[in-house]
Order: sequence, then C-alpha cells, then structure tokens
Amino acid sequence: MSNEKKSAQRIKRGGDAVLLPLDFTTAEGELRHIEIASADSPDRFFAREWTRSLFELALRSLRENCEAHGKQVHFVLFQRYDLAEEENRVTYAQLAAEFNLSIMNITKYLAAMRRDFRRIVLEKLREITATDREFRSEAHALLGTET
Amino acid sequence: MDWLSDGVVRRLREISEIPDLPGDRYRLGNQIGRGGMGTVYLAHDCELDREVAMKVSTIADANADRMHREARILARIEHPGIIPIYDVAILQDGRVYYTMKLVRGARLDRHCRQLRSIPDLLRLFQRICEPVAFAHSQGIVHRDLKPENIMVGQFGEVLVLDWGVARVLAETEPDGAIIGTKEYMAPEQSTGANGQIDNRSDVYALGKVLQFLLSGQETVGRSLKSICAKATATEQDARYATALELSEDVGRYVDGLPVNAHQESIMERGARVLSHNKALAALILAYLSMRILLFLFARS
Repeated sequence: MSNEKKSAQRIKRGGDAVLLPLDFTTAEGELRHIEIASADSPDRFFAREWTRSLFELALRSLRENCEAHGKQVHFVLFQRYDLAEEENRVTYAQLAAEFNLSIMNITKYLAAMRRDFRRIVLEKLREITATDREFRSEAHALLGTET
Repeated sequence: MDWLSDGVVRRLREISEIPDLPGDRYRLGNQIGRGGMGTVYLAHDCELDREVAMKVSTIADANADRMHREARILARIEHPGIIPIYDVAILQDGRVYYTMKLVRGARLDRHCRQLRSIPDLLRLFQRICEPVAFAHSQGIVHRDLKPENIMVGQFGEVLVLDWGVARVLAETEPDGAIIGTKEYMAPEQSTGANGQIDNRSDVYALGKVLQFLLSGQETVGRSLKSICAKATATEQDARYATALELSEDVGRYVDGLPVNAHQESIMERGARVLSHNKALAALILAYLSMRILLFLFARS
C-alpha cells in the first residue's frame, strides 16, 4: 500500500516520464528548418512537429535495430526509397540493379522495414502516453486522419 | 538522422498505414476513402481477377474488433442494398481487414441534388428503406443512418453502408455509450439508453433522412409532413414500428392514397384525388363548364 502511494507520488512528480537527451546542436540544426507557418494554427503546427520528432525517434531506433541484426542493407534500401524526396526516388528495378538483388527481395525488404517502422512508432507512442485511451487517441490522430 | 522534410513525414505516415498483406492474393491500389474506424483501399483480387474494396482498421484496438464484428454482420445480411463482403482476416500487426464489392457511385447528399421532383425523391427513399427493413427482419439495427452512409451506384442502385456500429438485438449491450450521429440520432440513442434501441431508432433516423431529402422542396404536402413527423416522433411508440411500415406509408403517398400518418379532411381528400387523377379532374371541369354554358345559353 505504502509502495503504491510512493509510486503514485513519483508519477505525479513526473517520475514516469521518458527522458530524452537535450541535444542542442541537433536542436539548432532543426530550428533552421522550421518555418513558422503563417496559415497553420498553433495546434496544427505543434501536431506536425510532434509527428516529425516521433518519426525521427522511431527511425533512429529502426536503424539501431537493423545494425544490431545485420540488416544494414534493409535500412539503406528504406532510406533510398521511402526516406527519399519524391523527386529523388528511384525505382525498385534501379535498386535491384544497384544492390544486386531481385525485385522480389527489394519488395520483401521494404515491406519488412515499413512493418518494423510502424511497430516502433506505435511502441514509442505507447511509451510516451499515460493510458491506453490516450494511446489509442494519439495513434488514430497520427495514423488515422489526414493532416 | 537527418531532419525529415514535410514530404518525407507525409510519406512515412502513408507507409505506416499501408497494410502489409499476407500472401499474394490481393494487390493494393490507391486509398479511396477514410472513416472513423479505418481506411478503404482499392485492391485487385489476383485469384479472381477483379477489383475489390478493402477496408483496413487504423490500429489493432477496439475499432479493429468492431470492424471484425461489422464484417460478420455484413455476412449475415445478404441483400442487394447492402454491400456483400468477400473475405475477412487479421494482418500480422493485429489490424483487421476485409474485402467487399467495389461500388462506384455518389453519396446520397451529393446524388439527391440531381433529383428535382418529390415522387423521384420518395421512390429513392423507399429504396433506402428496403435494406434497412431487411436488416430489421434479421434482428439488426443500423444505428447510424445518415446521407453520408447511403450510396447511389452508377446504375441507380441504393446501398446502405457502414454497419460498424450496428446493434444485434439478440445481444445485450450496456447503457452509457452514445453511438450514432447527433443530427440523425433518436432521443433514446442520445441518452445512451442502449437497451431501449430497436427498429424504431432507425425509423427515427430514416425520418430525418426523409426530411433531408425534402429540404430543397418549396412545397411539401401535409400528409408528407405528417409522415416525417410520425417517423421522428420523440416517443418510440408514436413512430412507425419498422422501416417497412414507413416505406409503405411513403408508397401510399406516392400512389395518391391516404396515408396512415395523417387523418385527412374531406377537402384534402378531394384535392388529393383530383391531383392524382388529372384526366378525371379535366373531365369534371369540362363537364361543369359545359353545364354552366348551357345554363347561361338557356337563360339568354
């Protein structure tokens, strides 16, 4: 009982918060990219930037996972295809030729990366939300509605 | 990790949503719709070589369960006015998807702008009532009937969509959760009295749909107004008992017969009979004119 009380007080003080590193170099770099959109409401702007941070966190984890499991090629393919700007995106056939893989393997690797990315995003979201209800609401806002 | 541009963030959102389909039966196409529970894609069924619509839940949660339930309900109510379901399955990440017939057409709120005459609108309304009446006969109440959930196909076929919140009357449901759309919701629904919800709750929503269809008309007869009023009565007992009863009363109005919702006066009856029998009215008028002329001629 006493432990529960202590635990509750700890949570109230922010004890369950996920600690994120304060990376000023990155932060300054990021600020250079952020334009305070004139047409956007502050809520919309915040939601967009929040999504961006969450995706960046998820991508970092995804890369670490790939490195830990010897799937660097998977990640590079993901980077070249899904993280490329629209105008720089290559085709599956070009990737297949460049990496000496079949188109079917490219499809499979990319599908696996997308699945892992989605899983990590939802894991991160679960870490930073307090309740299941909040998690579901944020997940629907993130993945279920248009911005 | 480099800073992600807006374009890349958008792309990542898209790929996070794309279902990773098992096997190679379905080939995913473009997104064609989006609802509260999930996203609808165009897909190609490679096995049967046909286009289908595929609905995928957004995440693996209560909505996914609800979609599974919706699929089972759709499978139970086979009717030309209800989109047939082909297949249901769970993705590796726990999301539910089901495939159904691909129907091209327009939502009722857009389609009805093309219809001008009251009889056309009423005939369309009767076709909306048909699948709902069929579902009622199977013990299923839709609970969210509204123009956005009704579709008119390219060949005039009417389809009632979105059975995700339908209630199976044989199953008990706790009170509290308010389900439906405010503007079309029966009073018993808006208080969360789920135990009280029955066919008459859909009748209420259909009455609101009828009002919506007639909203662009300058003159609506008293009998038709009474039909709307009876369908949308606050007391459940004062409404039509089923969608079929409502449809039949609308049919009587279209055919120029007296309707159950309205006790007409002798004058109203005469006007109704004459307005639906224009040839008879013309004959009577011609006869009376002739008599008057003969009378005047005899006097002179």
